[in-house]
Amino acid sequence: MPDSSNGSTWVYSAKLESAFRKVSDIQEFVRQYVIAPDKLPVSVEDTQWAIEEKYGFKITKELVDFEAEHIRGMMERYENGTAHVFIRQRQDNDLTVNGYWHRFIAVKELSHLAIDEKEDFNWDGSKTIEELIADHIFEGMRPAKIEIQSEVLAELVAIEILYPMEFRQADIESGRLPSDLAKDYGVPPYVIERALSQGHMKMARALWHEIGGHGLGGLGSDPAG
Amino acid sequence: MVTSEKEASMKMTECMSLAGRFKELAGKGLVDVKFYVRNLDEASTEQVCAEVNALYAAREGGKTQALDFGDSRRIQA
Repeated sequence: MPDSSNGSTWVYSAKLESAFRKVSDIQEFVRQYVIAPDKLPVSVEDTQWAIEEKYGFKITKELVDFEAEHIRGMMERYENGTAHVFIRQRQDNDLTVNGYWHRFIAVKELSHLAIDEKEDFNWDGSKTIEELIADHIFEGMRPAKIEIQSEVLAELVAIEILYPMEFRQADIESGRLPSDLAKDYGVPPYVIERALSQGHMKMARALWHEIGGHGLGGLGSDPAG
Repeated sequence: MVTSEKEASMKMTECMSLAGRFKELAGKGLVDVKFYVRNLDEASTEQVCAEVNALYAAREGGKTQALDFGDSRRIQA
């Protein structure tokens, strides 16, 4: 089974497979309760609702107007089952792409609530920031620290939720530009480029094959039809 | 030398301030906090702490709005 790399960090296979199974669980849950589950773009609100229902949370999301170069968003989780997602309002000069970033950041932060285990928790955010900055650099084959693993996994889960695997091969064959495809899925072009990269596709194909079911419409669905 | 020590002290304040905030939130039940940080290669710890402090300051200043994408296709019971 493959590990995953984003070019600088690696995550454990077992955690990766578990994270992808959560994507499948969330898609399946949403599919049972929505009209036209294979309609694009994927609904962030339905994804949030599925995470709330399946994992027992009450989640709020906020757009926050502040200046920053690095922080795109953050998430607070409380012991009483509440969680708050904060997203920086200004992400991109292009207003449409800005909105796509809001969607992606929201799902990335929501994903933490589905995939993180207690061993991944740390209330001391200043320590987490320290670890993120200090330990993101790839050193040989050393697996990434917990803080990095969690971030990498949450981003992978957000990619898989918002740009489902079942659409990608046709997209590759279409020859359409990432900036064009991004409009279909409501994600930043970065997400399309990342999802369609050789490394990500190889890893995702292997995992979805192993999990044995995927997609908004499930195996055998024809989302384009 | 005095200036750089002073600068170091000022820079430390951002992460110390943030650590204090999270300690206070932990007392209110915070168990985990996660961040989405872009360009980790170009970020410093103090810079990121300062930005998170700015986020909280903006919230406290009312520069925030509830976010609902309005994209639900759920069947309402």
